[in-house]
Amino acid sequence: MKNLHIKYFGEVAEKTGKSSELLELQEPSISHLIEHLKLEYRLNSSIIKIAINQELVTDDQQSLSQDDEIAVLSPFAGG
Amino acid sequence: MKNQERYIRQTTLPEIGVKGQNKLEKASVLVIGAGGLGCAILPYLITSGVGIIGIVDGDTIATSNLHRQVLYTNEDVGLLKATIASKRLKTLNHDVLIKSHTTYLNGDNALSLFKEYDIIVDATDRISARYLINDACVLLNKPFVHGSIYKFQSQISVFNYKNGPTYRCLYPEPNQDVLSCSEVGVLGTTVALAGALQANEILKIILGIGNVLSGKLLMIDSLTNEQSVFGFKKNTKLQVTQDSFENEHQINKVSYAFAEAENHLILDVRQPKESPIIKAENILQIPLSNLESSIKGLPQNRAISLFCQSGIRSRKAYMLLKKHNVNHIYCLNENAPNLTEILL
Repeated sequence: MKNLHIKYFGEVAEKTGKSSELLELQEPSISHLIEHLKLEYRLNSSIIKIAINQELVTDDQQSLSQDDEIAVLSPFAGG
Repeated sequence: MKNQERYIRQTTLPEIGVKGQNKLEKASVLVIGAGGLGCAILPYLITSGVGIIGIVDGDTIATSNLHRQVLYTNEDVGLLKATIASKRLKTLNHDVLIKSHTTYLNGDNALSLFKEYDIIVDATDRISARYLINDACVLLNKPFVHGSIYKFQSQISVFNYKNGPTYRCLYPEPNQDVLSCSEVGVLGTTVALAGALQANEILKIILGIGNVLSGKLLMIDSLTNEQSVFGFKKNTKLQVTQDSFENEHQINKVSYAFAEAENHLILDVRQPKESPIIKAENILQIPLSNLESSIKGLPQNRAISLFCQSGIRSRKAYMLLKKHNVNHIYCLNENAPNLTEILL
């Protein structure tokens, strides 16, 4: 178990009610993080994007480590 | 170069010079949306001397627009945004040719509008418009400069730049639940910041200077002044084709349940003996091959919903009817195999 530092942006931050948090996951992987976000905050997993160290990831199996900077974001509509 | 004195403060920069000014003069940019972002982007493109500017917007000015859409005045309320924006902007610089298109962007006009311009700018406030702009830009191989807002935060990126990552590489599928400025509110300065950054990317692309935000998403929080740049890669599995464009952007689709409730005439465009045979009171069969000669016999004031075996012929039938100016046509989401289950 590792403490992961997560930042939330836009509507995602609105839904989580915070702009960042420290999170402890059973398995430090993207898929576990997504599962957690779905259960805890009812986030729609099909539109959120996750970045590790400023790179948006496409591979759910990618593992996470304590020093990683994780960001969760989604598309914006306004203009 | 036209009017040397006018541009001297920018041509003095060694990165720009007379050569850069000539590039600006020869460039053409189409801005989709003359709302918050459009009002922030357009003046800088025009004053810097970009040769041709197109503005696409079918909307009219509302009083609630005035706090952030700074090209408009109280007296303009109710008038067309594209017309008024172009009138105001013309007074800023006579060197620039400004074309206003007082229409909403849609699947039928996007390709013909985009063809005339070098760079397309997404200054819209709808997610669906972003996919339309993206797909049209991919088909025509044009870069598009994107900006979008959620409350105090903005996202800026340049898609499809020199065959780089597209909007779909970032967000593969449309989601309609995302909220726009008119729903959640926005401060004029947040939109102005995002628009200025978009204008900056446009000028960099034309001039060929600096690092363009291709494969990068810039996020700005105007409350905290925090900026983040996220990298993303091209997804080569995602392909936009003429067919996928037609299917997604040019065809109105409805469910059978909706079509039935609205008393649509349901048209089966398969051959008579194709199985499963589907018969119902509201279903008429006209094979695609006979459709053109049967158009006159179709009811004038009743909506028509089309289906076939897999969706290919109903799409062709749709385009054919549209070509003949038949109004109120749809394709059913369901095709014959699903319909037999529904109609059981």
